[in-house]
Amino acid sequence: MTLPPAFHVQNLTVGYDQRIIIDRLTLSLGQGRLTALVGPNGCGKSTLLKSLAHLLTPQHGQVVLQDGTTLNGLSTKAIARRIALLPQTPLVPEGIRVFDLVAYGRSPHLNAFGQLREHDRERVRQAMTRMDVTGLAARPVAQLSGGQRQRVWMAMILAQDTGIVLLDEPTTYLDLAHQYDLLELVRELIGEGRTVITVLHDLNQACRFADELVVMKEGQIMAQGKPETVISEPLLAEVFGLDARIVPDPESGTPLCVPRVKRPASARPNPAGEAVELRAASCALTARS
Amino acid sequence: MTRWLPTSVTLLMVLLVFAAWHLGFGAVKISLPELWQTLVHGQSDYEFILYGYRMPRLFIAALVGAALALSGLLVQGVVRNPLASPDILGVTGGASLAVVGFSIVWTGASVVWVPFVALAGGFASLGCLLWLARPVLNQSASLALVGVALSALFAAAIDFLLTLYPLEINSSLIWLTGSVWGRNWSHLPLIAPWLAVLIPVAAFIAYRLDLLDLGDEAATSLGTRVGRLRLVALVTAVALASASVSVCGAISFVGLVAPHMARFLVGHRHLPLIPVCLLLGAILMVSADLFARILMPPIELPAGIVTAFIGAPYFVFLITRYKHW
Repeated sequence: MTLPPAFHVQNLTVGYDQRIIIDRLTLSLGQGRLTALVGPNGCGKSTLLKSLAHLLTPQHGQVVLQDGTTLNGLSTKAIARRIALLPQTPLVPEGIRVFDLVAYGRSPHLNAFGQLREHDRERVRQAMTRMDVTGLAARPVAQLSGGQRQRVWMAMILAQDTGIVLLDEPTTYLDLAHQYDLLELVRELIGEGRTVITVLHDLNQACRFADELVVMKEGQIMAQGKPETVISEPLLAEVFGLDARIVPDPESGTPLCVPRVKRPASARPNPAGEAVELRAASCALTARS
Repeated sequence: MTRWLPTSVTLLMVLLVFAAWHLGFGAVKISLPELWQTLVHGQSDYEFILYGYRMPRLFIAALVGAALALSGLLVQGVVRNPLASPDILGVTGGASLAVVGFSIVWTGASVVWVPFVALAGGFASLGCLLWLARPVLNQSASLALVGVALSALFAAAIDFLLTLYPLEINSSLIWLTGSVWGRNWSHLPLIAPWLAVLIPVAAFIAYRLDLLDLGDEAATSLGTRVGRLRLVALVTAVALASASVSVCGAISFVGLVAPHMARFLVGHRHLPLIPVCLLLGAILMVSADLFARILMPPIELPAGIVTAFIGAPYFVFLITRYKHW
């Protein structure tokens, strides 16, 4: 990749009140690529993502965009025209309909009264078609299923029409099929030349879909690069405290982490065993968790 | 939402009906034809009663109701809580405490000063609120809790002063319950200019308040300066509430109930909510003052008691209907 980075994070220190989450962090994030931020809970990946959208003001350091402007120097609205962020748990306003919610994505391009022009309506319709929610346009968002709702939020982000899209654990409330649908869609966005940076919990999904992983622990970057080169057994042990084997994903060939079995053989359900034993084993499992 | 226009027109009719009723009823009854005669041709025995007493009272009741309703709408938009109202932010309590304190310190002072004292008290309590809540300004629930605590403190201070100086405070007691009694044209400039300035401010921030309903993070990433928006909305709300309190005393429930009714009628968007809310507030207050006068003539109840009587059960009804808060 010869493109300049979408983000150049320089010596960034951010935190809430006195608690510093990220301390003097420096990294570059590629343009036109899907970068996944991974790491254990509380490692600072969401904090980093919020700093990239300037939701958090850095105590030190800065975030520089591709064209050399710093986030500090841009207005909130100017940032919103370039960078869209989908928070982990956005609130659904009482009684709002799908079209109106998606139309909020246009707000950085509108005047103070939020008047939609024909051009904006067209963008909203395109985004809804794209996310396959056109049929839901008049439905109240509160009545939709989790998967439908997430597609509506994604449509809002698309309507915002930014070159950079930041997603904070976009798959959290989705069932498995919808998780993969969403990640496939994110790949399509990359195909259109957008830059996507997402926090992901599932390492295997991150390895399969991301061009680049940023592995974080305690506010520091532990590794950055292609999934194949980054993911290793010592890294998993060090960062996640996880004892796992790494095998190639039978579908994509990307790294697949398979945690090693720790339970003693006697507590394991025996596929050939009787139903009673199975029940006993599942009791043991419940007791463990 | 295009429902706001027919809704507003309907509400305006309702307001006019109540206004005519308000002007006609009382110790001296004026029939509708006589009312028309006086208003249009200006020649009647009732001119003095109408222009001297009932008309200013009607206007002040309508404007105060509108201001309280708009204030409630803004506070609920910022705090994102159905129980939020100007009262819980401590504004009413602060204004009341200022008036009570004033009537103790300057026992012989003219009542002309009371509105200004109340206004100062309202803004001082906003200052207290913002100062005390400065670490939690971006957490709506905490902000509301600080407001509740502040209100309780003011209420305690008022009770303390009432027990200590029962005589000096007698006159401010009536004021504390909230009443439109004895208000005349001279009170109009105390409320009308505030509305003239602050309604456009509210309209200007309405769309951004819509975005705030998505949560702080989503609103910010859509280009809203959340902190500044919250401050502007709060100051506007407090100014409206203080101005109302300064004219009429503590009127409860209008600021709480009117925004709920408005949402029920026209949905969640703040811009269409503004006219509907203003009209509903005016209707509530005018009808409350009307019933306060006609329920047991010649005794007049304070309108604040009537709003509480109408408002409290209606509020319970609303809460049982709400499921998504």
